[in-house]
Amino acid sequence: MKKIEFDPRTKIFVVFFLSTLAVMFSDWMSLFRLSLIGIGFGLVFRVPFHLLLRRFSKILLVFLGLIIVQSIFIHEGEALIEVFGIQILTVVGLQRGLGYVFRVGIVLLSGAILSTSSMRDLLQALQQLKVPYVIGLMVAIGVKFLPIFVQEVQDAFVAMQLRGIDVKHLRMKRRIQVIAYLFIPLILSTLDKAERLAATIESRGFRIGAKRSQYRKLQLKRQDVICMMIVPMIMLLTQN
Amino acid sequence: MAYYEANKISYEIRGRTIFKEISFQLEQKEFVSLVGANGIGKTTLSKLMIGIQKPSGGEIRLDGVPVSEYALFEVGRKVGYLFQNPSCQIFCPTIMEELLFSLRFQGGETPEGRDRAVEMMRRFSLLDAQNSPTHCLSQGEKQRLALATILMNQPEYLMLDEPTTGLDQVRKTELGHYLQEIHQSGVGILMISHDQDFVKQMSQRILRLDDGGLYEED
Ligand SMILES: Nc1ncnc2c1ncn2[C@@H]1O[C@H](COP(=O)(O)OP(=O)(O)OP(=O)(O)O)[C@@H](O)[C@H]1O
Ligand SMILES: [Mg+2]
Repeated sequence: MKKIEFDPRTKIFVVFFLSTLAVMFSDWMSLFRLSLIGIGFGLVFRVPFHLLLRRFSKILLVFLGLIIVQSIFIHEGEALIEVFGIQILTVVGLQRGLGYVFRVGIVLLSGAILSTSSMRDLLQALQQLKVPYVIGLMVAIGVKFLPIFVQEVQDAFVAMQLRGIDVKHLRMKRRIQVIAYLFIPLILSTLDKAERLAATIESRGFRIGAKRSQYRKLQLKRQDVICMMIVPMIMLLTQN
Repeated sequence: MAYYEANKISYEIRGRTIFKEISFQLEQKEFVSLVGANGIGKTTLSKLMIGIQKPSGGEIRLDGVPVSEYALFEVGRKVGYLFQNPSCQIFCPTIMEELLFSLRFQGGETPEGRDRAVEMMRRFSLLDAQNSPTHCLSQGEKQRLALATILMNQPEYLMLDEPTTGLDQVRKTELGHYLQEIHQSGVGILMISHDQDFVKQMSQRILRLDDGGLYEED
């Protein structure tokens, strides 16, 4: 069977709906249904789920903490677990926590759906959607450099520990101070990179707003039209 | 027992074998150089040795204990590591703060600490630059600062990843003197370098890494 390729505009359209609704909904049931639909679209667009899951599992622990904090401080709903009269897990806390999990899940999924298209295609799509080129360019640069920033923070953190500083066992106040120092090399190298990038771009004759002609044009195909028609209908179903 | 002992270590990344079953021993008071072509895995090997990266096979022992059993900060207190790019290990806006940085977070600054920092500035010719912001320092100054900062911790061993890149002849000779001095004070050194003459002149032993493995050169 031939693999069906979707137009990046279709993906942008789906992601737009998914993320708007994810922000609008607040009850966990709707968010749950929305996540299922998101996963459905993820399958259609062939999102690499194993990578997504790995990223998601890392932050799952944070949510567990959130659920417990919610339960302790919001005295609503029936207690599921109680220790010495303190409600550790309540129904309302659990529901809100699950709401967060689904919401963040949808946002991550949206990112993953977009990244199944190449940057070149997405930029082309934004341009054909008449989004100002500057915005597209900023997004493209941001996405491209994000992994580098992450790497640099990690490197700086390693270098700091190699100084003999036991970051994990510092008192909270000292730890925050020490972590603030991590950002100094990062900010400096970012400024430096930005300067060099701007110089490189300009020296290659690039100007924002200059008239460009292009050979490539994205064309919506049948599967795209069908997909875009289905999306609003499905999304309506998720509402309570 | 040798200070560093590598026993048949291998390293693979993304399905690519960088090196396979390498073994070597380094004594604590030795000055050893590691040479080899670009991209052969010298930096990677040194990162395995301080535990930033983990070997896919084999074991490295530092002072008799597997590197994997140390926390990063514990290795850092024994072994000083100079990165190939010193910018990534400078955190503070001024030279003085930078030198005192690890003291501050390891129990606090002391008058002796400050004296030692001033002594380091003198020794590494940083006094003239002491009022310049660290990010404006020249490449050579950054490197000397990074080295001075590492020595503030009084490590027993030093690993230097290409310390001569970007240094002119005068500074290189100077670096040679510093290193000799550090070595004579009882600190062992492993230096990665492409500079044939410098390597020959400085080291007691030369290890060469190539496609076939690690060899001793004479
Ligand atoms: N994170 C990584 N992902 C993929 N490949 C990597 C990674 N880190 C290193 N490598 C590869 O490992 C090999 C060895 O790299 P390394 O930096 O150790 O070389 P080197 O001997 O220090 O070279 P140089 O003399 O240029 O500094 C290189 O071919 C590099 O492409
Ligand atoms: Mg290297």
